[in-house]
Amino acid sequence: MASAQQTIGSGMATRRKKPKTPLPKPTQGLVGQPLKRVEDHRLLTGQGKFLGDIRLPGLSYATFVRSPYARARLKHLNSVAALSLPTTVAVFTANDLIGLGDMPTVEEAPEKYPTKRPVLVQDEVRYLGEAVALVISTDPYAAEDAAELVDVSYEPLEPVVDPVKAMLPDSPRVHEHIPNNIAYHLKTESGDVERAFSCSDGVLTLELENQRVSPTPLEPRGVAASYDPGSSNLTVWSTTQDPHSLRGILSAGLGLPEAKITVIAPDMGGAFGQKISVYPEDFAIAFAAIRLRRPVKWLESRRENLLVGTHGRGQVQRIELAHTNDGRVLGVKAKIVSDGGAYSTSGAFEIPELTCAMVTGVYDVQDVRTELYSVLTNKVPQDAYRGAGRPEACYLIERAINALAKKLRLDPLEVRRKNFIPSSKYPYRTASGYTYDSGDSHLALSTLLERSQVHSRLTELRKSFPDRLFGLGFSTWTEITSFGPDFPQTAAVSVTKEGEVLVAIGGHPHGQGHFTSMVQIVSDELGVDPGSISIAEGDTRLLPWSSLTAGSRSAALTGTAVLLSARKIKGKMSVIAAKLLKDNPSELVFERGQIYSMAKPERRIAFKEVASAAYLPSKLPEGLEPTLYEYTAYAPSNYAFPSGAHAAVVEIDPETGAVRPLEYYAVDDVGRVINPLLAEGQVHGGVAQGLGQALLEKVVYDRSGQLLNAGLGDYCLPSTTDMPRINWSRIETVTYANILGVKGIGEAGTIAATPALVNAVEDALGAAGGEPLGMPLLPELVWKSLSSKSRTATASSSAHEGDRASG
Amino acid sequence: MYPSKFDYVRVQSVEEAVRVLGEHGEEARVLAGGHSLIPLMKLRVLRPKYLIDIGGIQGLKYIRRDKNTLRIGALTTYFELENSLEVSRTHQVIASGASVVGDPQVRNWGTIGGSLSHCDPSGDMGSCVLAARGLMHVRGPSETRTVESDNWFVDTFQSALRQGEILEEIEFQVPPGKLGGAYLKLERKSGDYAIVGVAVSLALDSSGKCSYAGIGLTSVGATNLRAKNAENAILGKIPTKEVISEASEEAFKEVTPSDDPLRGSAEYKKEMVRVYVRRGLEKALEAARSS
Repeated sequence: MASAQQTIGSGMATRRKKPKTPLPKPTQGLVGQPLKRVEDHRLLTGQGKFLGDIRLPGLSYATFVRSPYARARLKHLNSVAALSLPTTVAVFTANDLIGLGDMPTVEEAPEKYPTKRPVLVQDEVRYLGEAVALVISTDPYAAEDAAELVDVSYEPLEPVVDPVKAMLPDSPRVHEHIPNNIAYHLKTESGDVERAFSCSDGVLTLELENQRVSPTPLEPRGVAASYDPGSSNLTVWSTTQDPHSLRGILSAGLGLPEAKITVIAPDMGGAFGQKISVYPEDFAIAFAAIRLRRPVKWLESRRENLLVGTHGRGQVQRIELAHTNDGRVLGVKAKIVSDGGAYSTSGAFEIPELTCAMVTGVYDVQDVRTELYSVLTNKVPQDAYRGAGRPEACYLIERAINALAKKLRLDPLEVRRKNFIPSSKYPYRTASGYTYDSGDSHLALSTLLERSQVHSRLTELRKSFPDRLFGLGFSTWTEITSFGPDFPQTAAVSVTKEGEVLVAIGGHPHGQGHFTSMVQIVSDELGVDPGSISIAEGDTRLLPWSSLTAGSRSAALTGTAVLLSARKIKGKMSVIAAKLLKDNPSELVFERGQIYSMAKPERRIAFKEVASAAYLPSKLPEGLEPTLYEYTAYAPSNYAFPSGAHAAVVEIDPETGAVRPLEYYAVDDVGRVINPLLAEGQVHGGVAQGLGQALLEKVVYDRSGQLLNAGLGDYCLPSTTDMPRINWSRIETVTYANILGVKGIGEAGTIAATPALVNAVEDALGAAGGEPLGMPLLPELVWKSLSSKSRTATASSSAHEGDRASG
Repeated sequence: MYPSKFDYVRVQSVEEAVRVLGEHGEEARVLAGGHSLIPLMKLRVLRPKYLIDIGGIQGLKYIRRDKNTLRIGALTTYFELENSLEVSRTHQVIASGASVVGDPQVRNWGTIGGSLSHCDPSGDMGSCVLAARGLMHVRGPSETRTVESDNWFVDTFQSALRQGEILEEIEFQVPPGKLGGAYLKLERKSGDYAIVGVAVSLALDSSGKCSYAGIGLTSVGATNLRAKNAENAILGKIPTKEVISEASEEAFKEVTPSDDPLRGSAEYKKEMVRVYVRRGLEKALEAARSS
């Protein structure tokens, strides 16, 4: 990869003068090359600028007083003692937030209830850790001292913890106006579901829980704000995946025009969806900075992040497959009860909608009914977590296909093949109305089997170690990415007089390596050294508008917006160069910092020279506007649907139930790949998080709504030593959904790994295993499934009890 | 995640530490590696007014052999124990236990003395010290005394250290015979606190009979504890498969763990004690036989 960089990069300094020999033929571009991340030197040498690094003159530090109860009436709050400390700047309670709006909620619709969510609790606490007061001090230690002195008394109320029980008529209500706590109900139906079920030979029913987990980004959240009373400009630094949305929502909440608000998202240590939504802390800190006329900063602790950062997943699922005796699925009924948390947020409703929409996965079924209940509980609101709704869908259907195979005593791969959408049927319109434009599950699976030789690998293991338990599990997955045709992303490219290229991109990358991939795209398009390209992002002043970085959409949308902007630059520079070269603009080639015509490669002009000319109206063709700046807002023609086949080999310790993932293979179809190194890195991280959910992770609440694992000593994240070796390769079917032909790679691993691993554990349990397994597959759960005692033993560890299943 | 206000004193000798500790009484805490204390301070679960940092006391960081006695200074880190040939030569259980504490960062900072003073029932080192029958040498304001490991683990987070005392050294006798030891830990993921941990130290006499047996258990009671009935089941016998099985059964019977909603129920832990005591004995035996 270094050589690729040198090949492209070597031209700039040495070829200022026209070389005597003709240039070689155009070389292969950087797109498709495993370029090393251009971000890394800065980040790895400690030169990143994260929220914690923001220093402002007169900065004060905030901390929140948080409820120790999941549900309680706020009786009394006294901040006199906290205010008496000389270090205390201010204490805000709900009554002090005069003029500040409530947090955003959903639009009211039939069977959809908005909720009122104040920034600080007014009368009723609805989730553990909900903020009741904001304390601001001269240093962060003093802020916590003062917070301890805020005297709050609560009347604890019975909380709603289990989303299924929440729907019962005798359950307490999270919000009085929402009957049975069902804040959103959505039914969809396509085809003739009843006919499919009545024609079938049988029905497989499976009930699963897709447990709530924490996205746990390496860097927790944070907000800083500074207000300039003279100009009434507010600057907010926030760990957000979506700076322009935050600007808009803050504007509405604060009653300040968007034009007066700048949102800056500094370097960010991951997000995984947790940093999409706007939080009460964003509102509170901005409000305080305006009110106090001094900058305020709040940094979330790890404990707070686990308590009050949004959680992902959290669904109780039921699926019915109407099937023939030879394993063909004729119809699907799915019911999702989503644990939405304490308030009606758009994320909490939209994510399980995606589960319903994607529940048929890669299978050809048209008779489908889905029913979604988004249920409110006394927990922090649910929101996106890597995959957001699609991992839940993939888990449900991939477990169900295995259960069907088990029921019919068929090979799970045979059942899959029997139901795959045949490649001849693409573009394929799904029951939910989406169009999969390309894909080939048969090819993905056969390629996986051929490259991994995983069956012979398993046979070999079982033969070599006959006393040990090995298992092999698969998932054949798809998902929906590139949101969306109705949701553009923006980018701008400019070129300085010196020929340096500046790229501004929308959204806010936070670890993906977008700088690198965008540099590759621009370098190829403009034929310039990657070192001459700078990328800027995460500041609302850079672009008039932008949308979020999430949902595996950035290569498709941001990448294309960048490409189109660069193309516009190239078009304009071609016109200028053509005048200078006295040539035809349409025949010009941009390569290695030079512009020349294919017909007469000896006549050439430096990119830089053309850039300089662009700033001199006298040198420009008539009517051409001087300077080089181009902006694009791009929305694709369709979503993209990457797909693939994953396989996991695991070993179970039969005496303890401990699961050891041994090997992992994946063949994915993610369309065109801009940077295979970055793409593979996305798979590694994704598989790790998918493995985390399968084997280790769950936010564990007790009956009183207390979170029992609000720290990383207890909340169990996988580390490198818990990971199997991941062998990743690709196939490619062409998508025309976006100009770059990319499908999105960010969530593939997370979506596919969870069912592959759980299926592998079930395979290892074989005949010994009883009921279908739940997650996470901690040793005791697997042991119980193995042990004959499990049938009679009472579930003494309710936190990890298995899923209910039948069929 | 910011501790409450405290004063910090870095002392140069045990005498100075004991003196400063005496001056501040219950309001002071001793800081060694800090990997248990500092997180608790950040959560404000502990709020010492004075932190006495003994990390600079050179004289507390040693591994010394004195004929049949192995002496380990309280400030010796897990990393040093894990990698010491001197330790693993006669007290393999200590080296083995040290190698699975937390992660490399924890093992580079955490100390044996800190762990024993902290007295966390899910600490790995306590079980190892019980299995090896360590003697804790303690210095107080007016005297030094020695506490046997059996009397050390008083309760959860409560060692036999009295107000104003500091643990200086852990002493181990080398039992005669062929030696073997092992620490096995069942965990959710690498570096986690144990679901169950078992420390085993064995010696075999020339006839192949077990002449020394030490079994310590982690995360199955209010403190690290010894499986005495299991030890007795193997002591004086040739450790056949049947004997090992009996010993594991004894261990199973003598523990009464409680439910841990995150790591495992009491029932499961009890079952795992049986499995892990057997495996630990087998591993230690294999080491002893090949020594």
